[in-house]
Amino acid sequence: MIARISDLMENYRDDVYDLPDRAPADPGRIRARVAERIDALRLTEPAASRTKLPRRALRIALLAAALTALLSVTAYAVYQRIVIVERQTQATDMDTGETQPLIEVGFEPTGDDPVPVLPGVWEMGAVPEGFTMTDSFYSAGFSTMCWERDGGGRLDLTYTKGGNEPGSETLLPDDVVEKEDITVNGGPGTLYTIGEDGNYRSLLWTDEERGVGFVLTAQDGADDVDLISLAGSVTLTGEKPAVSENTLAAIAELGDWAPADLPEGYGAYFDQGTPGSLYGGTYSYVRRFYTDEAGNAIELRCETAVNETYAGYVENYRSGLEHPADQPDAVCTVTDTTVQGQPAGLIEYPDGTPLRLVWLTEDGTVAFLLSADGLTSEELLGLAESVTCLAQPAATAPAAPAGSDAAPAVKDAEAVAVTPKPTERP
Amino acid sequence: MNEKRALALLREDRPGGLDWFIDKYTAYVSAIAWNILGRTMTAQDVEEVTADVFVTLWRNRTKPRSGQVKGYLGSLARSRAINKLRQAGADLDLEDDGIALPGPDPETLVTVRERDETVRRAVGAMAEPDREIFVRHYYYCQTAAEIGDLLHMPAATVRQRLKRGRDRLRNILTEGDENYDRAYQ
Repeated sequence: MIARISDLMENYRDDVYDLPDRAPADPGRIRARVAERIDALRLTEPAASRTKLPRRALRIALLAAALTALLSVTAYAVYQRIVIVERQTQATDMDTGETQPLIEVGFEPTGDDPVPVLPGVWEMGAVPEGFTMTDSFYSAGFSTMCWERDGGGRLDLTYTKGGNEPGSETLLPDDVVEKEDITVNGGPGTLYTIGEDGNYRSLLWTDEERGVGFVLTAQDGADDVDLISLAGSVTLTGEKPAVSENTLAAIAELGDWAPADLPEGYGAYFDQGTPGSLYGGTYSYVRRFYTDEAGNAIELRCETAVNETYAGYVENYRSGLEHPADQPDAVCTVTDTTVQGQPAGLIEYPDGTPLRLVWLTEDGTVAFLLSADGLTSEELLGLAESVTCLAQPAATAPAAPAGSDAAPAVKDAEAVAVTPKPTERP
Repeated sequence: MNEKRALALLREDRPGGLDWFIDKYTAYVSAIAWNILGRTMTAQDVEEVTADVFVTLWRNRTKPRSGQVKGYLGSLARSRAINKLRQAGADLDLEDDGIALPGPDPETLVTVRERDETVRRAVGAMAEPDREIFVRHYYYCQTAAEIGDLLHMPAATVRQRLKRGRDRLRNILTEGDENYDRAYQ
């Protein structure tokens, strides 16, 4: 039998990293490229088909919720109902090929008109003593936060609009020792206790009126926490997330960019960003979301440019989409255009629905990625033309405090320049 | 955060999970890609392969278990980089890449894990610079001429040392693990 040495070396691990002429890539640039491609994949990959839990109680709750929604339509836009879903799945050990059974639980919108953005902000009102928040993240359809306790114990709260959003699926080991149907704040829920020692518990419930699903998990020594009571303390505290310090720092690093002419009915929803200084690098990004009453969303993403031209972004985007070999146009088309006099790429579905518009500042330091629900390509181009720098990057703005990496940008200030001065590049 | 927690976040597609692996393993993945692509392709190509590896990790996020991710990423990086070389029309003919093993199918003689361990020990026991030459050629697919340039020796010397490495590997794989030490005396 003839084997290839190069194949035998496939899993060689020991010292391939120790050869002297390596040239590591910048993790910040890789994060940007990966995020871009995953964004594209999320738009095109359908949600896996799932089996809904055949629970009579849940069906009754859904009927009640439908009536409530009809009555509350004037209070806020009509939001999608949502249900807990569960299915059996498995993970494969990459080395041995052995499979491990898992339970996938999560949330699925139940209608034809998914909620584009999360309609509110929820907070835990009764954080157990000793736990402090160590992580939090808000996005358009998904939010997550984590609390940890010295000496052991971790709590995670995630809420999501379901469907394709992150957090819509949670994988649990197959050794569920107890599964209990419960009610949290009037919404149906399920408490899973995992493992014989019960040290991993996951509680799922829904706010059906707003179409939001919640997952609260206790692990790593949080056995003493009353999970059901804790879930009951999770309440709606506002319509828009507060802008975090990290986001302000990212705006300060990139400049405060915003569209001046939003379509009628749209308003600012929230900003989310990460400053390059957080990772000791220079790559920063800010995502700005604008919504209307119907829940349509516009997203303007501005970031430290990782490609020299818009074409690199377009190529990254296209290469991340599944399409037949040598037929990239089967999934999306790209039209060269201009925005504010700069070369730009308009990515569209084959039917002409715009997916994303990409362009860079004249000096090539900041890239813009603009997408919107419900706008035509012409409207998207018009919106892009109105994007303005309301405050220059803190590093170049004369009034910025010296040494401050979190100087808040002046969002309401008069537009001072269309193109900021260059920031430092790697 | 540790790998176990990062993997849990990654499996649930929650923020922070994939970023943790990118921050920790970008240098590792890009070093593998660079050593395969660096002499013929650009830094952009290395970045593209590196990003592709992490996108693949995200797409297969339910598969790796804690402690296995680094190896998984390494295998992905190597295969993706080699594919990219092939797509660019590079000649990947390696020096006497075939090795005769006893039996109709090497998979029936030892498990993949046992075979990998044997290869690991065999290569690790090679004296320098033979080990580096062997890894550069059979792992990174660098040619004898490229290795000669890097290590300042004639390509013929590189080929000679590769043959010595092949012979030793063949002895170990065909004579069994119990003869491992004898093969290197």
